[in-house]
Amino acid sequence: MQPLSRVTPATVDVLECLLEGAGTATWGLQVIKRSSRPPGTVYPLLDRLERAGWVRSHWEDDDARSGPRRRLYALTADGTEAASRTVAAFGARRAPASAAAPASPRGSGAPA
Amino acid sequence: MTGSPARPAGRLAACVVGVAAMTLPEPVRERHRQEWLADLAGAEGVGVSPSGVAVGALVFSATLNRDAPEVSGMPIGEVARRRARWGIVAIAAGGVFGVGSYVVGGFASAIRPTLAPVELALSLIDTAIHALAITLLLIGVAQLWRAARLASPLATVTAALATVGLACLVAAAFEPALLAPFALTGLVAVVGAAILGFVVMASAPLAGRLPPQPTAPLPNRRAVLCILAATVGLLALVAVGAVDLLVWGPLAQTDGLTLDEVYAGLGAVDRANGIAMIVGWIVIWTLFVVSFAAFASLLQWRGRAVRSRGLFAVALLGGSALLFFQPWAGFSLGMGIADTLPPYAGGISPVGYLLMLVGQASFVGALVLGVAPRRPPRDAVLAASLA
Repeated sequence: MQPLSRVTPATVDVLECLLEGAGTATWGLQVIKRSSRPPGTVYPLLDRLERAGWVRSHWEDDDARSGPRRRLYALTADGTEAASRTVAAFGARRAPASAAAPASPRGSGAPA
Repeated sequence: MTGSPARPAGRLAACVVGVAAMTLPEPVRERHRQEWLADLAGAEGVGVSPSGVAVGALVFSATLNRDAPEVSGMPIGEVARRRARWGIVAIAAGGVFGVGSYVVGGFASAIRPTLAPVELALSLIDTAIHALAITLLLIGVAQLWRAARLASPLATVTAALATVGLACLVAAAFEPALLAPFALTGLVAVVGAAILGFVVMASAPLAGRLPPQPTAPLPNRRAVLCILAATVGLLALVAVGAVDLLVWGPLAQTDGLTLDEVYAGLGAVDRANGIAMIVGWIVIWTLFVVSFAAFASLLQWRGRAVRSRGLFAVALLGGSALLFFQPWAGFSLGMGIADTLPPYAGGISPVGYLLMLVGQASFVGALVLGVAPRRPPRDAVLAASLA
């Protein structure tokens, strides 16, 4: 697994969404919905996380649903640890700023 | 809630997603196409805008790192080599079109045809050729930099040298007062970049290379058709070039005279020398075309060794060479006209101008077939897409 070259608030939001899944795979569109980030931000982020080995993805195995298959994303074991550390570190950095200023609309990145 | 979106906005978003997917490299194309279509189908169900998904697909395509092996389906060294080769082809093509227009003077040097639409079309082509030359140079330089970024610091120096050299050459064309220093500096830099680039490729081979891609020889029937098409095309160029030399060219050089008046006005020696040079050109290049056809046929007959790419590369190179020498074949006749039939209108005929462009395009075509990398075999790149 490779470290991320850049961690942005959007990265943290996406990681939080994936951590909430707690080992279960999440549909990419649900990550978009829960992170409240636009698809143009989330798609490249998921791709970057996957290539860095933090996330792995697979096709949904649902025979009852026809049409194009959904792509599901889940943190790897190493990715889960790294994501937890990253989110915590980012939260710690954000906390002093939050104390000094009103909370941003995104807040802690809680799911919608 | 599955399947293709039915509403117009949904269909438009699906079209955009399809276009975005088409721009992706083959190894990752199908995966993302299917993923985005599934997201589109379910977007409204989870409260996400389908247009957002479509825009997301476009953003993803625009920002994707296409050099990564898992995206390109090729080792990084192979990607760098292919980018460098495309860069060389684009720069050479831009140079051919740019220098061709600069030396000949473009359409401005051609005698105007009487038909206004033809004149308009040729002048538009002329403008497009200039723009194409600059665009190709920019694309070529960009490709060299992209290749250098993947290779080594020395490769970056090569790209920088090539950029400076080409910038100087372009500046020389636009600033006649500084032609000599800019042109000299540009040539030295470009030649230096070529030598350094060769050293980089030879001394520090980049890791990773696709296995050789042998191509199957053409089956007999297809080979015959290809040889025939190339031969007929080359003979047509000789024929049109000959008519231009003997008829349209002299008419363009003597504004207002008929063809009979032109040839009657020339001295016997000038006329004979001029026609002899043109006949020489016709004979030499007809022999070349016949030899080309015979040699290709012999190769095919002996061992079915003809490959379409090689065949057409040689044919295009031959076509560019015969058209390069075509104006020179008319030099003697033109000098005779200039000496004995004033006022000399000068210039080339519209057909001669078009032949010049065809010659340049043929050379560029030969470069693409001979120097540009071939598409990698599907099975070599599809493995990554099935993961």
